[in-house]
Amino acid sequence: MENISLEKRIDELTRQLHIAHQDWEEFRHALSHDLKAPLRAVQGFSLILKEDYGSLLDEEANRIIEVIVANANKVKQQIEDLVNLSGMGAKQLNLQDVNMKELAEECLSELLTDEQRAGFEISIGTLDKCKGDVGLLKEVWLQLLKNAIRYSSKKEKPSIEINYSADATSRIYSVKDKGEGFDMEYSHKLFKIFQRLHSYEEFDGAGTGLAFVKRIILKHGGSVWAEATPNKGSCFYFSIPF
Amino acid sequence: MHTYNEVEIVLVEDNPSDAELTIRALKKINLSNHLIHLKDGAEALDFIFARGAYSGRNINHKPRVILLDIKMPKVDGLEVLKQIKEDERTKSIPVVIMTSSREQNDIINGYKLGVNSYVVKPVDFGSFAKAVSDLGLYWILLNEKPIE
Repeated sequence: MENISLEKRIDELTRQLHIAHQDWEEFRHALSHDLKAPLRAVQGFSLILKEDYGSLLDEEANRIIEVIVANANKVKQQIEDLVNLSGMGAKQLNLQDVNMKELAEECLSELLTDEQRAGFEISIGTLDKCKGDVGLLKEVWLQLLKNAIRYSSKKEKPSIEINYSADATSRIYSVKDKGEGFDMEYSHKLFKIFQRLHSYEEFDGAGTGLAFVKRIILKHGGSVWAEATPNKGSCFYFSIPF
Repeated sequence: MHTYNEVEIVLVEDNPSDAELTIRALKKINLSNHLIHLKDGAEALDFIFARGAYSGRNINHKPRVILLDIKMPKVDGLEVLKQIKEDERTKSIPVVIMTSSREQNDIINGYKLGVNSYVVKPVDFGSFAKAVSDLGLYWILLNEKPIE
């Protein structure tokens, strides 16, 4: 008797999950397809206005057109980020042994020229290999290191420390900087899409990087968190299960 | 459009803004003189098969290229493509799908139905205009059409 009701319950949940998934796919399709044409029109016709009539308009009118175009571009980028982020759930992980130290090194050399690197104090500990999707884990390193570099840019002696530890269930990797840091009171906003803890004037960035990091690590069955002190720096951790 | 028998580019696009942007890009490279803009799939089929409002057209006069949107009211782009490629009289007309989505299924089905090219419309207007003029130059000036 109990088994039958349990089976019924599972069937019902599966059905609901299926419907939710269909809704989701439809939403994704609308996002990637239907929103693009109006956006192209906003941007395109603004540029046409500038091209055809720019010389008849004064400086302020031309500036206003620039603002419209810049905002259309921003929405375009956000739509692309949302589409990519929402596709992550369906992605299959290609699991293999990943040499995390090499990967972190590779990312650093992509992000910094030798000359820029000389301005940083960089230390990389002994990082254990882990099982993961090398392409996606590279995105994680790139994002965390990019942030460490970006938020150190106003410091006189920037430093980046990459470390490793392990607990009973997972390998834990960390990226620590002595940059701007942030107030832990707002840490719940860190990994949400389009959330930023600094103004655009202070630091650029779309506010999508850490949302991607979180999705990738969750897909690997791990977790991600951070500790920070304003003006002293921050440390980002992510764990990958054994 | 003076005469339907001189049409070289058939633009099938239901979104008036996209159509205007496309025509503008072609006009800049002087390729908009022999263009007809049709606003949905049903109208496109009437034109291509010389039916309805276009029954006076000579079906043997083949345009150099058909630029076809996928998502349209009434008959969609893939259905238009299917009918063009299934008919001996029209199957040699080059058809280029221009669409906003990178949907894998649409791309696969497009090629299965015999599309000659599949282009995803860039959102950015500059890239869009460039893509349209590249397409125009290729299909009108570079590509050789079969002797009729």
